[in-house]
Amino acid sequence: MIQIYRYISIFLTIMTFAPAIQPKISFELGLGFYGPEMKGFDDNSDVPFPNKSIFNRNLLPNFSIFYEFFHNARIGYSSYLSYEYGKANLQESQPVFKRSIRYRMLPFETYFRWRPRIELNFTLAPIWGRGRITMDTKPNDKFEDWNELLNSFGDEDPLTQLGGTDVMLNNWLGYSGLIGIRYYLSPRTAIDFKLGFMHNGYKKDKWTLQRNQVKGPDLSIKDLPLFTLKYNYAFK
Amino acid sequence: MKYFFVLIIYVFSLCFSDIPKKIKGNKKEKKVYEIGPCHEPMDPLIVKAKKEGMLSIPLLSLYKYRKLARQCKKTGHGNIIKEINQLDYRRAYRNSKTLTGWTSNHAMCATIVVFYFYIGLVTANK
Repeated sequence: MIQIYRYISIFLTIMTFAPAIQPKISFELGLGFYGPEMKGFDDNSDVPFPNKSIFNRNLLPNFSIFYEFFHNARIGYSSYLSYEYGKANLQESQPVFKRSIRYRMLPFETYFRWRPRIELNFTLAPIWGRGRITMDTKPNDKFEDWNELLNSFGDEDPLTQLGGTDVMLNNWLGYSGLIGIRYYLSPRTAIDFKLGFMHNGYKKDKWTLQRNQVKGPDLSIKDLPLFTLKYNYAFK
Repeated sequence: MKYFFVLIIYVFSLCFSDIPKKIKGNKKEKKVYEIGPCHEPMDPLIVKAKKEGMLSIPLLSLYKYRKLARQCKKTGHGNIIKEINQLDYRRAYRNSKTLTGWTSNHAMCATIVVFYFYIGLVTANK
């Protein structure tokens, strides 16, 4: 019985002081900048892809959610997205082509306050990268379109079977390191600038399409400098 | 003719009327009214924030708090809101002023990794 009272008193003490401590959960929205070389799309002589621009090559819109588990450390989840959308000019048809590269990170962040409103933070994060290519083709032109696309990436073997929804997928692992500076606009909101890099173990031979291993586009995303500006909002 | 005279008198009365001059006041001078959520007796939400900081305000009451804070600024009690924010900044600064325990090792690792990456980038380009 005494032990129960002890637990209750500890719980009440924690709950009493809980409102006065720093927010534990924070959400971030940001815009990253990096410089990959997508030779498989840009230097593709067989298939003209939607024109490259800063929006579909260099910008990485991202969001993160963090949980502060120690008064100097946070753990969270971040997702950076590179997206391209447009019509691919194939011989048979002009299907809608979508390409996305998502860099999912599990950041482990330590930080300290340099000044009452300025924070310096240090992040190390494993990356689970995922590339995804889809084409909205007509059922009659499906085989020709996909084979033409794969041939343009250097794949010689023609496809024999396709499904209703055909998606080219590739998963890889990597890691990232970032150093950041955060300025608190108010106790709950902040602007965060991060500088660092990401390393991706991408291999062009590891793409899959309907369980068939196929060759994908040539992408130079192995070691890339990364900059990101984020807006942070702290919840309870 | 009489209309002409009436018009002249009207125009002259407008031209030479004594227009009260605008007195330019000091822009920095803040008006202080008696009534406001930061004036005694203070709003309970402001009292709570003043005691425990702005972060102690529950999310559901945050909109109301922001509204009260705006009223406080309008009624010349902006300093109270600043003090409330400072309370949170000082507390956070006190708690995480230095990297404690293992966090310094992690920070050092992250710094070294990023530093070596950029060194590698510069030397590889040369």
